[in-house]
Amino acid sequence: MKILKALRPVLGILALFFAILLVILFVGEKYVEENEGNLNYALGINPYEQITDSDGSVDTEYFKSDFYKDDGSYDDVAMRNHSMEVSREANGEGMVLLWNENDALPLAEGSKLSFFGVSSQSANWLYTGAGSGKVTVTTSDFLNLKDTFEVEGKYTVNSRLYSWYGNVAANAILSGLSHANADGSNYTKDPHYREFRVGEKAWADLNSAVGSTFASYGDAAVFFISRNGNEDGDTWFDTSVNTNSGHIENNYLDLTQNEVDTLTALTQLKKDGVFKKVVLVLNTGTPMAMKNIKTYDIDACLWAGMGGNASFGAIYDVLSGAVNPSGKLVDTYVYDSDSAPSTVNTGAFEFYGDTDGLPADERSNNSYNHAYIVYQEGIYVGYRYYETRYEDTVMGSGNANSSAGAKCSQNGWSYADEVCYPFGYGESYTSFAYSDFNVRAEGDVYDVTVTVTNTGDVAGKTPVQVYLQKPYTEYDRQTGIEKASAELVGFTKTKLLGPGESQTCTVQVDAESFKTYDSYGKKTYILEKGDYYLAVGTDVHDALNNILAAKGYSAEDGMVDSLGSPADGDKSFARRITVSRDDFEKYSVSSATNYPVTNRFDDADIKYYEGLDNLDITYLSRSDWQGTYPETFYKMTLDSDKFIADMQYATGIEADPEAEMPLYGTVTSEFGRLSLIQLKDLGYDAPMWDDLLNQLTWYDTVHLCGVGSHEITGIAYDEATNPTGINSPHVVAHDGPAGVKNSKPEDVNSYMAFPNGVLLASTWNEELVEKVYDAFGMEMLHAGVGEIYGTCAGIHRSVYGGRNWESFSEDGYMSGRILCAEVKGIQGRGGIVNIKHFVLNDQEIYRCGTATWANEQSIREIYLKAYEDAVVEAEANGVMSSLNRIGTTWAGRHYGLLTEVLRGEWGFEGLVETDAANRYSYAGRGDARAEAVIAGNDLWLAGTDEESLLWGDYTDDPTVAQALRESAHRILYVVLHSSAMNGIDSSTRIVYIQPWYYDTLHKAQTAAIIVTAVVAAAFVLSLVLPAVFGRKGKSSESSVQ
Amino acid sequence: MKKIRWGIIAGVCLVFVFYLTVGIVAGWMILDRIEAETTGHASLFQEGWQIALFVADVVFAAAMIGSAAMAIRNKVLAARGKVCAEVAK
Repeated sequence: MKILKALRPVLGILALFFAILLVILFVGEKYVEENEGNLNYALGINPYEQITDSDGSVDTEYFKSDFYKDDGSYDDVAMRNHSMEVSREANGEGMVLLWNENDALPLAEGSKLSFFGVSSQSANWLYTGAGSGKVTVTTSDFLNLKDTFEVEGKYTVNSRLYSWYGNVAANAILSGLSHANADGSNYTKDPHYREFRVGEKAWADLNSAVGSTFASYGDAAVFFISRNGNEDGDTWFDTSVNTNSGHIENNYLDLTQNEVDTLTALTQLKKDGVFKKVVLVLNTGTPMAMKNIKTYDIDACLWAGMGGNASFGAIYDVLSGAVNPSGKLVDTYVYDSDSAPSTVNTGAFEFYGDTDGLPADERSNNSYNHAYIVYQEGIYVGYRYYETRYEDTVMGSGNANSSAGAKCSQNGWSYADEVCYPFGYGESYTSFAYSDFNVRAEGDVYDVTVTVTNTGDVAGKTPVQVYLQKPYTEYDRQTGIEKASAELVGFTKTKLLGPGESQTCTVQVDAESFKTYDSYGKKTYILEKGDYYLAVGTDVHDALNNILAAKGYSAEDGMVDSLGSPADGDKSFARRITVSRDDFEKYSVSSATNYPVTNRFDDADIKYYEGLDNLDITYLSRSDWQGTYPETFYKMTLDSDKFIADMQYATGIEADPEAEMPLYGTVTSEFGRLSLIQLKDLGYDAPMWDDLLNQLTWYDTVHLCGVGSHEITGIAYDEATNPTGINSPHVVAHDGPAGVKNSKPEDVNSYMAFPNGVLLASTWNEELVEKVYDAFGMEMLHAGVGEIYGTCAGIHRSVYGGRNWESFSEDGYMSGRILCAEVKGIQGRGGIVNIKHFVLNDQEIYRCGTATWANEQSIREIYLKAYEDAVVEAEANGVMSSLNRIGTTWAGRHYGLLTEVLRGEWGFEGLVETDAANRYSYAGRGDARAEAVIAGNDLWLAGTDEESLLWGDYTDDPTVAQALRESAHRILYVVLHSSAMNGIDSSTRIVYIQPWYYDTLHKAQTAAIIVTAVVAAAFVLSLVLPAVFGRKGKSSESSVQ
Repeated sequence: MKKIRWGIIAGVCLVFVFYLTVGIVAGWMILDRIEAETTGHASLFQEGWQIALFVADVVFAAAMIGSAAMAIRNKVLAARGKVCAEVAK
């Protein structure tokens, strides 16, 4: 009894311990259920099993790989070799030779080389940018830079220097992210904001350690510089708080002091005869500022992009001359990054004045309700700004020579002083001549032909670039239409031309390219009368000069060539096409669907939106550069109840009076219970879809639409629990676009990072890009991944966009062509794409909820263009809605965007999925979901089992129920035509197998119950027994007395 | 005056310290995993609930240490008292 009494405290504490454990285990099960998708993703579990009873005589591999072993299983190793091969080819073709003085490149065979920079090390090279799209490569999958250059015996690399960087750079913060406050605390505006650092080493340390070796490896000093970009991390510094980190010019995209010191020393060593040449290699996803770089005597500069696993091999190919560079820029390279008008309105902006009534700024739930961004520059993004302003300086119109917006110009605004390399620019180891330019109208297409001749000594390729100039008319000035002086409307790439060899190339330009969006007049696309010009050029500036020459201008008017020297154009490469009358009808309906085309984004234009009646805006206009160039960022105040009301997470559902509650869990087909596979050969509108959808239960429907965290959930058939189940497979989804993240083929056991979007676009070779993304599709097939959250088609509105590295270009047409190629490649192998981020999500700070304002012309002509091409031409099967607001409305809840434009005008038949939707944010809450599904958003990239988040408050609402049914239809249609159906025939049952952790959890619960009960019982006994026996003892003592 | 059972209080505090610490670490790991999706890193004090857990953990840890110290002190005093009593005998 004494022992029991002595153990009482211990038993009590143990009882408390296990009681708490018991509560945690039971509460935890609820958490596990709500996050099953996330857990399965993290643990690599697919909880749905396919059981097929047929004899296998029917081929159910609807999407095949090109690589199989003899036993019929995937040959992962051969597949991966193929991925590396096409990636290396695309890398080599996309890298852009920016300059090459005195034929410094290619490097002569037998050269002894010194590699400088922390980025020369495998651990520091940026194979991709950062963020969810990043793929972490296994560096042992390929040779390091030094070995790559030495393996064929053509070069020798300074090993002491290379080792020095290897030893000291192991901890280099090459692209380290940190929140911006100098004291290390979270950046108070946006806790997701990140700032980049460059960990280049001090020249003095390097020189004292290994400087004596330079002379022995002095044929060339090759300096590697990297700049990162990141989801949640723009390359823009908030200068109010940033810690500068050694960047001169206070700009991450310019040099750091250590880089300046290194370049200064290297060029001095060249003067001293230690190095024969200095070569710079840029490992970036966005243009660096050239202001300081161009002040050094660097012989050659290669922009290498972010090439994934094949980076080093391709750098070797280009520097050695095995591959003649044929990449051309897809962004304008300027001296000062801030010379683009969009940069005035790039950054962290919050509403001014009284913000009472706005939803609380729940930054930890990714709901930024006080932030806004205004696209005041209108259509003048990238080269559209620089080239248009240049033309106006030549023509002496629009106050283009004024100093507004000038950053590096000596007097007023000068193209030569602001632009270093224009869009489309790139050098080669050979030279090309153009001749026999011709334009021929064939119905609604213009055939532009030109003959390209290789006039140099080595074989090479080059793209043929076709640009259009539309007339800037009086009507445009009156109605606020803007026209860029040149727009890319077509391109192709020559074959590999040997010295002296010629090829006549034809580029087809759709006559529809001549249309313009009229936001304030006709509110649709119009074709205006006037003189249009089609021209070819070696880059956009060259083409524009040819147009200017055709208009009668010359160097005397201030014309300069692409490198800033006075030059005439060549009018023989420009053709004037005169449209004799205005046509305001032809393009007012969609050529894809006949759906009316009219303003859908008045709620995002400050000029139109009724909630901002007291505000006005002046968009940048070529009619008066001086008067319209934004002097400072747009200051936005909340000035109406409507604005406040529209900014709420949900604003109420307009009931559809004709909507009726759908059938649930009912077999209505004359063929009995249907499985999804049975509809494989039927169109989207086939009546049998109604029967299939009638079989879905409410639970099936809301889980299919509402639970999509790295999956599209399967719908199992089970006689007992789901007797009308449709046997829809579970689809594994992963992040992209750099590669198939977090899921690898079995026999390869590592990830493949493909060249980044900018690098692929720089190839100007759609066929090659499709080949790369065909390989990407096979990586998905082999890894068992059916859906990819990519690819990314955001426009490089400014060079500071954190995700510029993922997407393609500052130009919508170029982005559209490359996006089409990628979509075709992935979908050809059965993959589901999520082209993203739809739309106007062009900066990272405040991206979750920021109110984005732009006019309809710029939205359609610049930002929607790539998506339109991918949907209309490539029939993209998935779109990812972005996390920002269009005006006041979250993009995923924007009916005009997702239904009127995407489905109405473009004929989209795929699924729209959210970006990662925090469950309690404006994108994840139940009321927001109800409105979003009506607007046309189908699937939530979120994991939840909470009834209220799964439309639990709308079970009797026919409007919401019908919208959910239609979303389920779209999702199932996409799944049905994807590789997820591989192995499924009409005999297949999809069975849900509860993941192992449930069993573990249940066993733990049982054990905890038993242990808790035992310990609690012992504790109770320790309380009771001594008392009972104590009393008995006392009473017997008394009776004895 | 009723004798305070410092040992029991220390034990109860130990239980809470254990679970709070597990909660802090598990919460941080989950957040870090989420942040890792965008190549970020979570901090131990990123969210309000993390701070609350941490404060509670510190309070219970302090209480545990204090109670344990009191318990040990009482034991020592009791042992000394016993010795003194025996010596007095």
